[in-house]
Amino acid sequence: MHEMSVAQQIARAVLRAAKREEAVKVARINIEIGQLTFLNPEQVIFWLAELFKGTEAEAAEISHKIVPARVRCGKCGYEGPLQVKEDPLFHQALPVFACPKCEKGSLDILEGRDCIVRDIEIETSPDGDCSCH
Amino acid sequence: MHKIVDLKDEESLLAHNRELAEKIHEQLAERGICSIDVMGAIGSGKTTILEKLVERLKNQYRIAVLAGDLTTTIDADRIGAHGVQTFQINTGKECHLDAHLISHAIEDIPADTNLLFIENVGNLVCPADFPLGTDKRVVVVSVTEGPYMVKKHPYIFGQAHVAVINKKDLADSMEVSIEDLTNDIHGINPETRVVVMTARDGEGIEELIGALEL
Repeated sequence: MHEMSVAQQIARAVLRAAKREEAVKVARINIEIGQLTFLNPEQVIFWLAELFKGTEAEAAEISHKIVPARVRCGKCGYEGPLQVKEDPLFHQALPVFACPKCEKGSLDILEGRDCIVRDIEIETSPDGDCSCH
Repeated sequence: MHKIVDLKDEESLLAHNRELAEKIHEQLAERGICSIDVMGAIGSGKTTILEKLVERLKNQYRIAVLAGDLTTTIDADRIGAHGVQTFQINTGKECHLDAHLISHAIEDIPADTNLLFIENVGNLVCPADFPLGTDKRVVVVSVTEGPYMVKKHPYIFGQAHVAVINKKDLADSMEVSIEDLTNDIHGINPETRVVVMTARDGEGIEELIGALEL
């Protein structure tokens, strides 16, 4: 539901980097979306495309990768993926916030809670030419 | 010329919120304030539960309540009528409170406060992504929301210390099983304390106070 706020922050980071690197065009944007965020990738990409209209990133190809959750148990020291449970009622696996090893609930989430732009591919001069004179 | 620019260390909105939340947690601890974030869907009974809690606890603690809503001061006024300090935070259009809003709001609460309740915006989705730095997170679900609310919102229940199942008196007419809801909560997080309440009548309030260790 807060895809637009997150997209705005990603767009700012992309355009700031494009300016800093003197890009004439942003060709590709790779974003990472954590499994545990409430962000719908399709909506994030939709808002990014809207925000990039009229900028050097207008024609960028936006791809995304889902970052799986990784947790650490405060009790037994387990580190790894979160346990999931299949339920035929739902079309997605349900996360279980209990340690897969000792079954206690004191988990720290190490990964899977963020939405970031990992990298971008830019063009720094028109027609792919180097600026060597 | 094509070039790949690595941006993975740029600031992340959600990570920034978590860092701010940690700062709030430290500030509140330094000031000796115990803090509780109350989340739940629209109409689940968050405000009624807070009214009962402050009425019961106001002689033991110096309480402040931050009430979050898109607009109006209805909730803050209702809780304030019980003689505790309340502050309305109107988010305008945002569907959740975030750590930035709270970092400013806690500047306003009286210096002698030792118990802070934060009533989040009615929503089971977004608040899960935006921790506020409180000691405990409570999520309220009422039987009138139907039998699937817990299963449909595993993230918010998975990260709650206490889950309240409210409006117990209506469970039979709603044909909703309290036992099933309890099992759903423990299926997501076996450590979450479940408290069954009929908040309007004050039923379950002592169990909730116990679960919150107040």
